[in-house]
Amino acid sequence: MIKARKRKEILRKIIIYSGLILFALFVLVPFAIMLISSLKHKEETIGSFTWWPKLGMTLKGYVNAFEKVASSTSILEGFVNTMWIIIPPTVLGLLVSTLAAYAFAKMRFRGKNVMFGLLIATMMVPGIVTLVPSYIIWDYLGITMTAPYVPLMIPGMFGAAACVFFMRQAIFSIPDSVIEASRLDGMGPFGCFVKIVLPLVKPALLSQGILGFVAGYNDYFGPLIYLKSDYQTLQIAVSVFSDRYSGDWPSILAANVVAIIPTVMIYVFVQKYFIEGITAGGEKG
Amino acid sequence: MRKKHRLRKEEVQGIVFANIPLLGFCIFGLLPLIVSFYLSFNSFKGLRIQTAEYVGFENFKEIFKDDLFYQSLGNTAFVLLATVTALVLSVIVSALIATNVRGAKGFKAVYFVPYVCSMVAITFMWKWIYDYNYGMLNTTLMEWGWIKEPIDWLGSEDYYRTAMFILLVWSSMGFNIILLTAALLAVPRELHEAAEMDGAGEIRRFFKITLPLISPTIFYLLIIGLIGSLQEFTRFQIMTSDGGPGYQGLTVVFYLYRKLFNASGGSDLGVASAMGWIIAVLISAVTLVNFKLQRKWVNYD
Repeated sequence: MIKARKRKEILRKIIIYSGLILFALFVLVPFAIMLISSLKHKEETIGSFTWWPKLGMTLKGYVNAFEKVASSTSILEGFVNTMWIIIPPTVLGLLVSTLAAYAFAKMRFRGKNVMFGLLIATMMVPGIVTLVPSYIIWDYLGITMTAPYVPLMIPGMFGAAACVFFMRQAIFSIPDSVIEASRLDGMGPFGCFVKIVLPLVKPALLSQGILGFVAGYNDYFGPLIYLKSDYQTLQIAVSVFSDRYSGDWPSILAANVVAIIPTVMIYVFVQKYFIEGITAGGEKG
Repeated sequence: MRKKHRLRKEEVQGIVFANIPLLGFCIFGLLPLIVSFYLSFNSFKGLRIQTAEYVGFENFKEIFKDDLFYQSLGNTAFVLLATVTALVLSVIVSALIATNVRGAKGFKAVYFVPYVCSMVAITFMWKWIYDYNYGMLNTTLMEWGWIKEPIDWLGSEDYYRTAMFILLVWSSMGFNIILLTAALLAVPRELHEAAEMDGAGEIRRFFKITLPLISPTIFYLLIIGLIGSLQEFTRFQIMTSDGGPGYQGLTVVFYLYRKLFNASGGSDLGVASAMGWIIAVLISAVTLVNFKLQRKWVNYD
């Protein structure tokens, strides 16, 4: 009786672990294929697929990926462009959202609930309706020709409803007494925000900041629409590169490996903030 | 008197602080929305707004007469199917993790990796795996003797959907699993113990106790997933920029993109705007239906 139960328990464990391990392989093997193939000689990717490079490894693909070809954005330039285009709106948008969140959580003013309701309602408008007219307006103003990065930067600087919502939850957890004490010391609301609130919600700021950064870094649709030739971001540069090197798989895969390294690094080092940002977002559901 | 003055000043500050994001929405959301309404009832030449000419419902009529539009809706419905499949599989994987496995953290960390990677890179990665001549998939399947001839995964109407389905499911599960395992962790142990006393088996307990308790998370993921799938673009555009075999890869947003930037000069702003509205209405409808249906299966106790 006990033996049968024990056998059943072992069988159960085997099923569970093999399920989880198989799924882990399903997730990881494609990455392994990409990484190994990016290190192969081009000759070896023409012919039957091999798991291990029999001709030895080479960095030729990576050399190609970093090469500057006239009239197109190199991977490195793309990376720099991406940083220029996404860091200011990510940081500023985060601060503006947090300031709004602070007002909603800790300041007194009339019409607060209505304003908050309106802000949350804006999340219901799908981005796709505003895409075409936004492009038309920027184009009408001549911005799409002279400074095509502006449409990708400015809107984000005004913050985002989802971020306000998340930061508001974090600020709620600061006791009112802490805020009041600072006010008695003669600090204005803004001083209190900068000196008291921001340091106290640092973890929440980091997790929203990281999520925003990664989303901006990986964005493809926006840059594709606005950045036709100049100031192309990394994602666009990689996609253009991959089309030009069509057939040269080690080079294509090398460029794509380079493109994912930064976000994977961030993920490896600050996994905690990632997970927190995402799970806290889910709890409102 | 002084105090009152200070309060008023503070009120103004509060209103200003609170409404910068809303101001941003008015400029970059509401204004385009109004313009979009105007655009969808006008006809244009090229991308120039100056050539606008009122045409009533012509743009909408044109879309509803367009077979390719209906096909793009069908393609998008297929993305929805992949999203729902990914959600069901995520529930299963998360339930396995929640059985107190060793290394749960490690498994979750691995499963989440695709989420942080760019869609562009992930799509090129799978494009290589699916490569007709030299890809890992065809080579392996032939070595195992499962197929005699290589399969044209991305070029044949018979296999394209399967190939995209695997990619879509593969890349959508990590996010779900992180949220679901967090929800599963919050299910009180005592409930399970009590049910176990009553002789309920593990599977039965999962359906009767666990599933209802995590249903709000499943609902949240379903809504986010559906809204995302209705706007799917990147994976299809990178994989097959021509729309795929028989236009099977042309999602509605991809179709809209082509209407906006038609290489052959036939860009049509009016039609593109009208299409944007139709997609938005679809998204709202799907969300609304789900909110109506949630009463039947989501448990908020």
